[in-house]
Amino acid sequence: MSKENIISLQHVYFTYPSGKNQVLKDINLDIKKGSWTSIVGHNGSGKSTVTRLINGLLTPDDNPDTKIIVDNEVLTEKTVWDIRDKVGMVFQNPDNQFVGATVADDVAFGLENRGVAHDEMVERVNQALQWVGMEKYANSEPSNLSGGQKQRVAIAGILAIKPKIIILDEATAMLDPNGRNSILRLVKRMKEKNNLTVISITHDVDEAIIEADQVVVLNDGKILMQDNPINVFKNSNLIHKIGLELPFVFELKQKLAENSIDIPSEINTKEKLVKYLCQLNSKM
Amino acid sequence: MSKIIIGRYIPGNALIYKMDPRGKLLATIFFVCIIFLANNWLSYGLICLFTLATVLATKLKPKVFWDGVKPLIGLVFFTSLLQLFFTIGGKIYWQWWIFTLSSYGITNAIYIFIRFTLIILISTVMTVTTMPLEIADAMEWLLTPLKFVKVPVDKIALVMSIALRFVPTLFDETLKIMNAQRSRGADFNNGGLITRAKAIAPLLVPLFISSLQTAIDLSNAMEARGYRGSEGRTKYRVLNWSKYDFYNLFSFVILIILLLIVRAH
Amino acid sequence: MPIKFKDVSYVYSPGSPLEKLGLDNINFEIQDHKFITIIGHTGSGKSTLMQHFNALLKPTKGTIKIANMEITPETKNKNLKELRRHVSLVFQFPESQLFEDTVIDDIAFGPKNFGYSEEEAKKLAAKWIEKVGLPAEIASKSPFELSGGQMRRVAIAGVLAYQPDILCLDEPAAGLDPRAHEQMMNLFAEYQKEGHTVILVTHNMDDVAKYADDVLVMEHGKLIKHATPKEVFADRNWVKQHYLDEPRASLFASELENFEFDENPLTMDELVSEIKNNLRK
Repeated sequence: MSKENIISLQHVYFTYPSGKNQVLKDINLDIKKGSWTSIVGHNGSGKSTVTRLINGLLTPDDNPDTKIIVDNEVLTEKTVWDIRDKVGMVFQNPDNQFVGATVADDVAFGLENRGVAHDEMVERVNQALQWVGMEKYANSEPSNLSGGQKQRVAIAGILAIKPKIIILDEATAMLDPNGRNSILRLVKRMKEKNNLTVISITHDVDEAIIEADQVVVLNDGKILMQDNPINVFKNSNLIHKIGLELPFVFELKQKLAENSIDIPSEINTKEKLVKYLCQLNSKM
Repeated sequence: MSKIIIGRYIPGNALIYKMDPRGKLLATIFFVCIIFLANNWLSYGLICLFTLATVLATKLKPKVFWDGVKPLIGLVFFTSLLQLFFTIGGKIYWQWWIFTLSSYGITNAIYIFIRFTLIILISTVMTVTTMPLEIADAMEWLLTPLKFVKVPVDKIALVMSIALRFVPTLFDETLKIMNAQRSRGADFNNGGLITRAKAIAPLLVPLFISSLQTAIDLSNAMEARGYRGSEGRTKYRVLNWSKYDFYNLFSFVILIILLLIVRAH
Repeated sequence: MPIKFKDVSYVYSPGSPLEKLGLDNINFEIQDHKFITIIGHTGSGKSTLMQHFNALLKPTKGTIKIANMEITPETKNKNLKELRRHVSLVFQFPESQLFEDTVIDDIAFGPKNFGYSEEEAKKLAAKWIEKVGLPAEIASKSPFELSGGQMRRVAIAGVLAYQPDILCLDEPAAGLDPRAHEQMMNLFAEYQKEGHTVILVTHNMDDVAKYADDVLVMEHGKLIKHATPKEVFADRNWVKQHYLDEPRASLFASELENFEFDENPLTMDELVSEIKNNLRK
């Protein structure tokens, strides 16, 4: 594994203990330190399973070639707790990951588990709450918070542990658009500030194309594509075939092409497309 | 948008709110014991006065306390009636079959009535001024000695706190499922016993399944956040004794001394 | 018969410390067989409004006329079954309401409650399994063996099976992947075209643009606008003032500075044809 990779999955297979079908087949995936990786795929394509293998919530099938490396440590029964110190995970359902009776208690949960001394714990809880802008709610109970606020608390609980990797497992899927945007902005800010590596499982291809350095397309347990977003989404037929949609700009380009307005392939962001169309319009 | 109050906690800013829940829990238990020291009208009057002062100190509306007493008032009356008609002693006013009305009976009945009412009032003071979570913390502290006989007090405490935290979540879920099934024509309110028993399955099965899902999600989240049992865990929530707890203790010492003096008369 | 709300207000837990105004003097009328969307922020009163359509909540004040019935604060719970047969509500993540041993029994639950015989109910259930796009052999399976997306369809079939005249849905496509989302929305659009009223509570403005005849905009328990999508999104400043989102197509169009639009394009197709028109000039 090259030095700059923080996560490397090699020949990973996975079958649920109760099931017969293999949900993941020969997954090979490298993730660069400090990058943003979006994993997309239809419901049941195995997206969540991949991330749960990274922090050892699930154990891959027995296979001599299989190797999972996180921050230069090979994932084994012995290293799993070390690795969980480095990987924070935000789950989909805001309610079902809120352990503490109040906001501050919940942020402290991970610190308590690691035996952090009380004074330091108070300091780190306060800081994490400040980072996510929830310091005013320290003593609030979860039933008084919105979904977006609960997800902020979940992120604070992760930041308090000072992880290197943050995994969003459809963390915004149950939020309204405001909640979704504010969580994405927060994660982006925290990524820059703390030099985090982000892995985001999502249906939102517009998020993928704006934020991601790398997009991984999963289909029926296999990696179908793994490249920068522009290279991935230019395969419009394949994307449609596996039940995903194109990012807005790509879909618009395709529709324009069908109406014999061809847009050069290097025009692949919203800004570029707006500029190109405006220029085209002024020439007429 | 539904909201419920767990337990009976009512936010407030009276002095009693600042007291440590451990102190309040001990004081409540203590009160139940020393109330038996009272043996004459004067000592009962004294305890009544003390209770009244405590109730007033919460600065809450009388209705709050009436709501605390109301559900148990029948039981209190019943116990008092037993005392009234089954105690023999002193002057006997009236007798029929197994029932006797005596002067002892009358006094005992009144004493019992006062005793129960006061105990309910003091426990209500405890529950309305202390958050359920704090009560759970206090109970954990009280149970700490049991650690030496290998009772997993930490785990029990964590379970209690998570259970408390999920009461509103489960309540919302129940309401949602009930409304969904009502929309599908289910009727939870009408019909005979069998119809109603049948109507409960469409509510209970989904509720059970969603609770199970919650439990699975929660255990995943806890594990991902590094929970590996109570060994080596530190605690964020620590309770601190303060001067208010001294007031609490002090008032009880005075009460006991006064009770002992009055008792001797 | 149109749905009519007259001076409807609703107060949560009146007289308690948690008292809260849920709906504030709502007035509107919607015609039959329309596709209506209700938009607004979380906590704006959308869900409260929705629960009034089949009297899960009854108004604290005012009158609702719906499906030949009149609901007032005094309406008795006994008479509501007839109403619920005609007006049905589907909550968010409806898969959580499944409970029967088999898919077909679960779908037949509603029809049976509303007076269909066992046989008729199962017939309807079998028909709707197919109509929502599930394979017929799923009927005898346990709903809990299915995938999340399939469970969602079973739940929706369970409501469509007794063919309510008015179907109210709260974010029915939340959490589905894009293809399932589109299939789900098309199912409702088709149901509406067959002569039913569909009322959709949603945050997805692209869906509003694509499917809605009318939009009801809620804010702080008040109905602040009742208009067509074109009218709602025409006033961009008003939309911004109320912190509402715009359809992606109209957002994109707003950045094309030197383009002239006859009409603000709301859907992808409208946007494409407007761009084409501009470039042709």
